[in-house]
Amino acid sequence: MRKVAKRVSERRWVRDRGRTPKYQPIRKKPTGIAGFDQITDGGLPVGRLTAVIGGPGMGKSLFALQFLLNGLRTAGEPGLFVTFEEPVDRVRANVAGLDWAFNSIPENQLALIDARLPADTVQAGAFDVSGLLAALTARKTVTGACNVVFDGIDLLISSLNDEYLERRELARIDDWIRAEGMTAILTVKSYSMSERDQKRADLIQYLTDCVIRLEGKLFDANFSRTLRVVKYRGSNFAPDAVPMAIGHSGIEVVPNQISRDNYPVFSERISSGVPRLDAILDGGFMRGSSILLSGAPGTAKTSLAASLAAAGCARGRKAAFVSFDESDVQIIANMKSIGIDLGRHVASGRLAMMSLRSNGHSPEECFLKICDLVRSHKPDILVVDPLSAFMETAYPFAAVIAESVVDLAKSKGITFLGTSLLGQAAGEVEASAIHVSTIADTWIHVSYVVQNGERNRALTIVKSRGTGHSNQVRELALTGKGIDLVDVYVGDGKVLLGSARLEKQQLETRDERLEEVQHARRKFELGRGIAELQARAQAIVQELASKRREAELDESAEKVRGVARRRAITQRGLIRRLADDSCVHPRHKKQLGKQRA
Amino acid sequence: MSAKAPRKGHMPVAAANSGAKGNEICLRLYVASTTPNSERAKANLDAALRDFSVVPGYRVELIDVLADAKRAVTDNVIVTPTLLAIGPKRQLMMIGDLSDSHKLQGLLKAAASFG
Repeated sequence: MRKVAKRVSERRWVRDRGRTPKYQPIRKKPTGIAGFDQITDGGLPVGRLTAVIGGPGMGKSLFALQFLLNGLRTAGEPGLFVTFEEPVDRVRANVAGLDWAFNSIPENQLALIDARLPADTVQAGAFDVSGLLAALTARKTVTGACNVVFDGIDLLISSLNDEYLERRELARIDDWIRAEGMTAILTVKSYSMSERDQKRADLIQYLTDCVIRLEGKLFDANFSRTLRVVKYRGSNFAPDAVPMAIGHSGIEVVPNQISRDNYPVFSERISSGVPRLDAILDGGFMRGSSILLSGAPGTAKTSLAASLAAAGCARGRKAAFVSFDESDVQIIANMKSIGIDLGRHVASGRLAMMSLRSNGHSPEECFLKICDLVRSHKPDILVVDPLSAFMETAYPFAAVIAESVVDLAKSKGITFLGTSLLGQAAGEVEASAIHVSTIADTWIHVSYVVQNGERNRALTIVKSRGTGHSNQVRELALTGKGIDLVDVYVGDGKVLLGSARLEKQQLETRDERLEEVQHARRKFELGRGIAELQARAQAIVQELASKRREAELDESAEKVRGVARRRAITQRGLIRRLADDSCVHPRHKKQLGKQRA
Repeated sequence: MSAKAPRKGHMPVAAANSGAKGNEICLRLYVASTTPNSERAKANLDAALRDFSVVPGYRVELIDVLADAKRAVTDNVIVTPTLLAIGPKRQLMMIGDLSDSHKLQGLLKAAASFG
């Protein structure tokens, strides 16, 4: 029996000898930071070392803790957090403000290990971290920990002050992790002060399988955080720096890869709250579409936005109104003055309003707040007024963030309306709205037309995907009853609005009346002239007739006269012949007698 | 960890576990089996103690953290080798292979003045 078993194992050894082992592609473990898991296509490499490098206050420890917490909460994997810099109670205090309920986690699930050396420790010669690793192995066998974080490892190994020795200790940690099958994060401070520190940071980057850099930069007065995956062995990743924010649920990353597919599509139309606008949009906005409303300050962008939200709420839908410029109270009061009652919808819970002063938060923080609002309120309509608030800073990801907001709404089938503050010049309109306008389905532009000492608002639909729409400029009128659109006066190569339009219209009606009267007069005069001429014509005809008659009579009188004359001539000749007869041959008398007969 | 042995200031090594008895001074050396650093530390400590006989009563304790991993946890050993001079009132820590004999002698002198 034993012989057989031995033979089988021998045979297997012979069989497997020439084969190369099967290499599994890298497995990944989610960090629970949604945007990060997206850009790395799954999270951190399992069973490998990841370095998180960043300056002070960049959120390195937070990133690491969030990873441990996610492992524990989603996969039930206990973790170890070894801190080389901060005391354990300070680490706990740092995360106490987050909604993690971190301090209720039992020690055996997530152990915080203080690995700081006493301040008066004297270093005499080279050392290694075997002691720590032995202690960690012992803990692992007790708790079954899968994930480990070495927070601020550079502080310890930098005291070796020798490149070779530092490399050796990092390799020791790497070996230990692979041997124990643990997934590990090393957090490393990035100083660029000394060459030595720079070398250490480089070394750690070479030794680890995945390197994440957390960076921060000041744009104007706004501090902006970014996260960048520098390397990821055995995996593809998005190498661009992406915006990152630290909120009360920890680190959040805004991925700048916008899918732009799998958006829900609707054929339903949504009223803008302005009947005439619905009419020129061929029935209203498409549900789930994104609308960009651009215009100069005071062109009733907020009013149109509020109108859409109020109309939605009135139909029983939910709406969210995010404002950067004004407080909720201000907007509600302002809208009331033009007959849009937002307060009623806020009271009924259908409308959620959020005011984010654009100077108070960084764009990515604002985005995350909007995300939270969308998650908690689940609106059908989302208004961001103005969306261009993101663009106001010198922040490089402003356009990405603005697009992300639109993308967020579209992916959830929310009808989105963003306003954009733009100048008057047409070129500027095209240029500054270009990013958002490409993903906005409907773009309405409201501009000022200054004429005769008066400003009027002119509304045009620049584009509207998938719906018929008018190409006509409309005048936008704000009244106590709400917003209305009025046809503008177009004529004489001019477009007139406001009182110029009214004046022109009145002028036209007066001219028309005048024209009518003049026409009547001309008609009368002509009639009279014709009548006169007719009368004259009749008289002439009569005269003509009488002349003709006269001529006829004259003719017949002439005939009569001619006959009489001829007869007289004949008779005269006869008489003369009779007188001659006395001397005429009898034969001639006979002939004469015949003639007389 | 913290539940088992409350930490005192910057002293991760549990004072309650102190090997000092009366005025006796305990020199405790944590090593990782026979790694080069640990071997060197043992030799350096031995040599120093041979040359340096000022310490009136001392006891050397050698702890191998690889063999006794539980001890590594309870004493919160971070690096090896670590030399701990534990007096009745205070303790001093030295890390490294003790190759710097001046520093080691300084520690031993300081430890001698504990009592």
